[in-house]
Amino acid sequence: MAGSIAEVNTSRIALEVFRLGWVETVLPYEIDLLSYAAKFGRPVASRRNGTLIDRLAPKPQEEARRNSMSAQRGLETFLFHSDAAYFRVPPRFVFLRLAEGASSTSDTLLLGTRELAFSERQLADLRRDIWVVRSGHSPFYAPVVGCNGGSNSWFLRYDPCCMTPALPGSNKSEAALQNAFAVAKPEAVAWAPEKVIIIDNWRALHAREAVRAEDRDRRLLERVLVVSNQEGRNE
Amino acid sequence: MSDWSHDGLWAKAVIYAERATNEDRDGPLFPLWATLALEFVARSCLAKIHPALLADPRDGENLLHAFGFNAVGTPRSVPALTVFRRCRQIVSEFTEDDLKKAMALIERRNAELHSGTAAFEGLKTGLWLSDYFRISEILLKAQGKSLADLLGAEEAAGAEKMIVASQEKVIGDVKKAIAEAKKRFEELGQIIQEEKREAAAIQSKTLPSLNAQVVDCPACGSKAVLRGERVAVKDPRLDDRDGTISRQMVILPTSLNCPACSLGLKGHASLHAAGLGGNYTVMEIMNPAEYFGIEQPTEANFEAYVEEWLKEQGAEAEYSND
Repeated sequence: MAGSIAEVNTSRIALEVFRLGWVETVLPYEIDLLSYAAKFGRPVASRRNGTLIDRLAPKPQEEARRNSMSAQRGLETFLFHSDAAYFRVPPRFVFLRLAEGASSTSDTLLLGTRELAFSERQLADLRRDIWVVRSGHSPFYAPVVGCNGGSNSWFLRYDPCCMTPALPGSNKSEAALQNAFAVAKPEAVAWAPEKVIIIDNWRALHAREAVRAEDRDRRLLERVLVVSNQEGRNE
Repeated sequence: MSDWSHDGLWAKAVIYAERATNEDRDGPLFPLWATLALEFVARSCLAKIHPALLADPRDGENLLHAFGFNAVGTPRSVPALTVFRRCRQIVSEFTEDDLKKAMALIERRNAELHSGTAAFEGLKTGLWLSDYFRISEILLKAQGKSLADLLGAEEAAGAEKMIVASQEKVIGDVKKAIAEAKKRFEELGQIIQEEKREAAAIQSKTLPSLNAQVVDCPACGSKAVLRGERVAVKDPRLDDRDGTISRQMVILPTSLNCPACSLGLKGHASLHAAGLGGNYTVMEIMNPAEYFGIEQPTEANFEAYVEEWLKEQGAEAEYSND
């Protein structure tokens, strides 16, 4: 890891993220995660009028914000999802770092699209089947595999907590996803001080293990969402 | 991001098409959902170029919305007729005939939604479905999509078969019409045939419109008139010798009429089946005043015209930045 932010070779790291789906690195606490992430593109708030850096702590359902994954899952396992799936085009990068003074034995699970074995037919369903994406006051329709017009690049959008099939009776993509998840072998990433995971949010899904009792008050992650410079306006 | 983005409109077209395919083909809900899907296919076709093509031009706020900015009021988009007319301008294969067929379905849908008429009750699929699939396919192709993207692979295979069957029917009908015209002509006798051929040749020297072209009749071989719709206009060129402006126009054939044997064919599909479906080019020649829309003063108002012109010149001369 570079000693100062000026030395960060963002192009090289970004290429590694695109190639592998995610990259683990170390960022000393004296370097602000937001400043670091901003080297890769434009940081965006996860919620309207929200801050550019989120601090994610495990919450039981009753304490969670109403429209959040914790409100649905509490301290249980967080299902595989893309971050900010409720954006018209989800942000390309997710930066996660264990906050200073925090600790966690509950791993983050990562699953690249290459590990998801879809048949051609299933891929066609993922591109075509439409889901309702709940996005504040403006829900919209979108498939799981979308295409960003600006960069003409495909992306995976999936978050079962804010997406439901528009026509459940004829939606085949949900079964395709569940079948793929059932046989996939995700990678568990353990947290350590100053560790950063940079996720390609278009090509990898992530999840959280159920929060262990000892982590309830100690697990705290910093998160920054970044729109790649080629993507343009998307919130 | 605008609500008129291609992705959003396309997603809605897919859902409505899916809703249609889940319905009973002979029931009124199948054509209702199908025609709703058709309008979204046309809207997404325009949005693929730019959502601004959907903005109602009567209020500039709508244009802001099309560019992704929050407008003050409720954004309004252009009505279905304008959407299909714009598709007619933009998608060369989407002919005037297709526009009429699409609008006939949309108007029936509007009657279903806005009146007490049971507009889709008893509407047989044989009357509209193959045209619906064919028109959809044209508008889908224009936005880089296919029937399979809209309907799913299985439904699309059925739709393709229906389009092919419809084209085969057109080919059969055209062959029959040509054979009948040929037979009628041959029964006329040699002398009358020659007279009719000559008359047709004379008539063909005065074409009824700029979009017309003379071709050999596929039935009797006389000079017949092919007419069409303008699908593209090339850049104008100035002729230095006589000061005229000319421009090439690309025409899609849509009708044929033979004055000798009375063969009449309508629609591009029929002409395609007769081997006359290829585009052709005609030259439009205009004088510069006509081309630029300059009003020519008549002798009677010439003085007033000059006076107005001098006043305009004077107004411009008032500006000074010294």
